[in-house]
Amino acid sequence: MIDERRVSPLAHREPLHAGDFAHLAEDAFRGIVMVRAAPIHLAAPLQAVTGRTLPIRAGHADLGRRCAVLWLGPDEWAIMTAPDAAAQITQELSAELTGYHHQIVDVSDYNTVLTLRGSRVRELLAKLITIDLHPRHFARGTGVSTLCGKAQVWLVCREDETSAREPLFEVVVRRSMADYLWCLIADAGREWAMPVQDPIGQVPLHMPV
Amino acid sequence: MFRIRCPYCGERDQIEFGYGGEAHIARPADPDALSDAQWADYVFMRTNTKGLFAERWVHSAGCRRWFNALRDTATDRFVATYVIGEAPPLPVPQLVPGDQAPDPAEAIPEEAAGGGQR
Repeated sequence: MIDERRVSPLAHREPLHAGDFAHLAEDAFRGIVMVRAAPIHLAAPLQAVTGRTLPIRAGHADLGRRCAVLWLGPDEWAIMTAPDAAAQITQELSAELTGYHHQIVDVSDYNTVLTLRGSRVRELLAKLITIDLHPRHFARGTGVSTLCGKAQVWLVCREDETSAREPLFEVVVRRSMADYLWCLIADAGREWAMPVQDPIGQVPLHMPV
Repeated sequence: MFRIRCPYCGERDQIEFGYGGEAHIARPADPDALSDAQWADYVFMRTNTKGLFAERWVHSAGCRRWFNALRDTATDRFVATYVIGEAPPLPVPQLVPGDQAPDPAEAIPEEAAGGGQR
């Protein structure tokens, strides 16, 4: 049941462009489901419900057009789907896993997705993230949970349907940290003339040294 | 600033981790049977090792799992990390219960040990 009055966490922001170097936008209302179960019990039901293969190695993700599965821990995964598809997946997966020890939670409203496209996105994100973003190490089909500035995020690198050369980066962040992260990414993009964004409440993005 | 190898995620930056104190401290099977001094010993007293030390860490910004690590407290070098439930890959000098000298239950008079009253 979708309330038409709902507001996305970054509804007050317009997409930002910095030439061909970086584009920042919000992909609002994406469906996100957290699943915890033993991999041996989850693999077959996940294949049946979403058509995706369960990633069992750290940093791996199975990214489909409509549905993506992200490794988060040895017994924890995130399913990212099209808007408003989360409730159905939650229901179907719960039914398939009946009798096994599991937990399935629809966290769509709790998170939002920021998308980054462009030729300098790796360099931009490297200012905020401590993991190696070189294409050799962080190629399409990689997804990790890490820190971006002070915010905990899931970072996903995937095929971009609008560009054959550059991948699409998705940053999944909690609602309360979304505006901070938006402004922080805009700040990191100043080098490529990304417009300045003032955080809500004029909270400083960086701690005084 | 150093890098820690999470047994699940691989090598990550220190800022993603949280520290959880000394590892391999077993909760007493029957807490009611312990004296206050013995209980305080379990809750508060740690080995304060200089050298190889087994400790707990949590990968709070990554997989959010607890694991154990062997770290040299003098050099801050991580010797090994291993999942909860595994034995340390190297022998670690550790105090075992009853190994402390002198035994606090004997050293402290009964009234002083009970609830800190004088």
